[in-house]
Amino acid sequence: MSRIKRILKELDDVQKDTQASITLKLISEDDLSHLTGTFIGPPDTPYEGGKFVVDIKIPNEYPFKPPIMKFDTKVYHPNISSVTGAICLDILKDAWTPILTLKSSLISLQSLFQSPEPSDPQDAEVAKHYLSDIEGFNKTAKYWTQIYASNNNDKELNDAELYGIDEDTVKNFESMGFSRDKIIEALRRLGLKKVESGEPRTENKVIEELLK
Amino acid sequence: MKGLLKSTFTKKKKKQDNKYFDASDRMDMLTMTEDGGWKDLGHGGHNESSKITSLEPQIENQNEESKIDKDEELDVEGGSDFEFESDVEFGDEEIDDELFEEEYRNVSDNSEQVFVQQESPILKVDDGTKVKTSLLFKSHTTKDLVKQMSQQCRNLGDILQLDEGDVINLLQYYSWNSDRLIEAYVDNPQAVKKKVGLASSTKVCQHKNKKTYKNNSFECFLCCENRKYTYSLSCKHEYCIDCYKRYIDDRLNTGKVITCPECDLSLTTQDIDAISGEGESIKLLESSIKEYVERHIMYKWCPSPDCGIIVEVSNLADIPHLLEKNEIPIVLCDHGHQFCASCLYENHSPATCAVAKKWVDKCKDDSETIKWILTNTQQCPKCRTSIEKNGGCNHMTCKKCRQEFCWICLGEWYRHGTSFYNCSRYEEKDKNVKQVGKKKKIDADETRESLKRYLHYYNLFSVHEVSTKLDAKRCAQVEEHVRLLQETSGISWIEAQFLVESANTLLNARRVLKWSYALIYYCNITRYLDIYESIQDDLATAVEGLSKLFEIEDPEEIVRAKLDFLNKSRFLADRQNAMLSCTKDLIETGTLPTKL
Repeated sequence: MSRIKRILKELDDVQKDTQASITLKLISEDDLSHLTGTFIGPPDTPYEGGKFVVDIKIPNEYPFKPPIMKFDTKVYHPNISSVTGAICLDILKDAWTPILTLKSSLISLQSLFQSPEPSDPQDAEVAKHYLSDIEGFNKTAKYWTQIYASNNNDKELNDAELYGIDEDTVKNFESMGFSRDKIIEALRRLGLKKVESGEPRTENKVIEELLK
Repeated sequence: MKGLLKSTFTKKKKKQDNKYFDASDRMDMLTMTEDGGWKDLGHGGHNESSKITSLEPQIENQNEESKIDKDEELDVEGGSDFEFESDVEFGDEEIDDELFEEEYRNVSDNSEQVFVQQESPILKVDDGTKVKTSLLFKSHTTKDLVKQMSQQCRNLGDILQLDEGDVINLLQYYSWNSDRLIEAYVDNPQAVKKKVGLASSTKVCQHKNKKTYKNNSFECFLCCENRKYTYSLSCKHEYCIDCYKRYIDDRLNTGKVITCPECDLSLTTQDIDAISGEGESIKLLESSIKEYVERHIMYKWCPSPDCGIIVEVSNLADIPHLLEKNEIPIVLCDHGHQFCASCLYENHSPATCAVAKKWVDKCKDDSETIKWILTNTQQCPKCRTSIEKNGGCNHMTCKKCRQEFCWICLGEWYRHGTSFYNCSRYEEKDKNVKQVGKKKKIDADETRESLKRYLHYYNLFSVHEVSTKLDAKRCAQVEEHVRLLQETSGISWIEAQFLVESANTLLNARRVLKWSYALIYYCNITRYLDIYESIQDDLATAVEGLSKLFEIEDPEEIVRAKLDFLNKSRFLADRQNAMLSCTKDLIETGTLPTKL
């Protein structure tokens, strides 16, 4: 019983607070256990300007057990799975305490965008990108924000940019006669973002992969 | 009633002389069987000690004689007088100390174990000629350990001048490493307290008794309801008592310090008791037991499933010495489970720790794969590659050597003539085919042979493992039958004890037999191996013999078969000892490599 009252109060609180860049609403009026929340990407991050949608499921034991959250919007972030949207954040697991709310959880997610934890990653590939090439990472994350978290859907999807792969590298292999899709697939399999023309060994590895 | 009195009396005797308790106990029982009553037993009891002392020189004289030969001479089915004699002779002379001790423990029933615990947790045997150090150990239940932990907390509280509850929190934070805690605390008490979230000492008074009754309604932040009863720590973060209780319940079993939901201030045992009810805080200690046991290496969990007994070994330093001498550091928990304090498996004698470990690892890795290979593949008769037939007819062509052969008889295909895809040669039951098959078996690849050898012993091992479980079940049932009989027909308690003893003997012997199969797998093939195997066979026969007796359903029949039970279990115990002493010889002769 306490759960219903609490959830209604939390919804009320979020709706009253027009200042915050956060929204929270029920998916269906008769089901209090399934909500969606949104928040705006924090400024001075690659996520700026994006609107991120989070799927929230509330367990029966709430608020003594944490809500189950995952991103519906695709996000390029070391602690968020780029495939499933699963989130790796301590307060949504064992560091949860009942004084936390759905609103505070969403704010925590917002601050996770400001300070990623690549040492404790959910998505290893993204984390590797973050650690090895922060500029490239920022570029890709920004691109993902534009593609998936913004309203202007008219922009054409560039798959190389989506995976943070260097356009020149793709062009280079295309000139050898391989198809674009295959090149991107091979480069992703090998975990390569860029192949310098002065590295014949890496180039050969990619060609080998392409010829498999 | 008589029986009860008697049993207390024997226990007193045992207290005086542990070493001969085994023998004297049996002596009593045999006297009892012979006379069918209790009238003489008082005397028997009184004379015990003198009788036994007189046996001592005799025992020493016979020490030189070959142990195995001695065993063979034993006439099990002989009269009970003879049996009594042989019992004492063999019981004392042949069994080496550890075994003797082990046996002595095996035959003890629960009440006697309690006595052992109280009187002498030190199970050390000194036979006058040589002193062997065995392990000194003591069983604890989780309750005991909680008491001990709380005692430790009190002591530490005295040293550090803190509340017991505070010390529990500190120790939980320091994973029960009291040395580290003391070091850190002495260094900077305030910092440690802050880190763990203890209220600073000045606030301790306010800390207590925060259960308040509110006239004005209070809205709990957690449940958003108006509640009257609330609780808060000195941080003044206030929640209704129900939510607080719920919050604590979720965290009690984590073994970690519980803090205020909002800040780092930790809840002490007093707080927990005040919120969740008196005695709840004990769960805080219970949940820490695992960590406590892990932290203190002298504590070992009994590996038996759902046993939950913790055995404390006080002379850990002796374990390496025992291992060096190829002895197994066996300890016994209060529920009667024997286990090795070094590798934490069940008692794996006669296999040494090295053998046991290797065997268990091997079984974990290999048994399933090998079983699969042996059941699903055959070898090419020419090149010995393992081949799996995954469909099609029986006309096989080896991909490696191109040999064409019949899957059924493994003979060359062209011999099948016109009866294609149907091995008629098999139906003929031609002697030649059998011969060929036999020859092929002899020819079989060595690796496959060794796999087969392994699987052979593995199967024996696992068969006995399963049988042990079944036997244990059966024994328990039979004991229950007899207990009922005892209640209805007034058989005395001690009269029914032979069943408990037989059951223990059976289970122990089966275990020894089981592990002997693991041991033999690692033996070098020498002439001693034949002897070993024949002793093993004898033991297996004896085990099955006693096991069969436990099939008797009718309680009265069981009581009638008492002598049979006693004879068979005595025989079994002797075979078991023969097995164990033979293992010693195996190690000495190098048949069993000590280093694997």
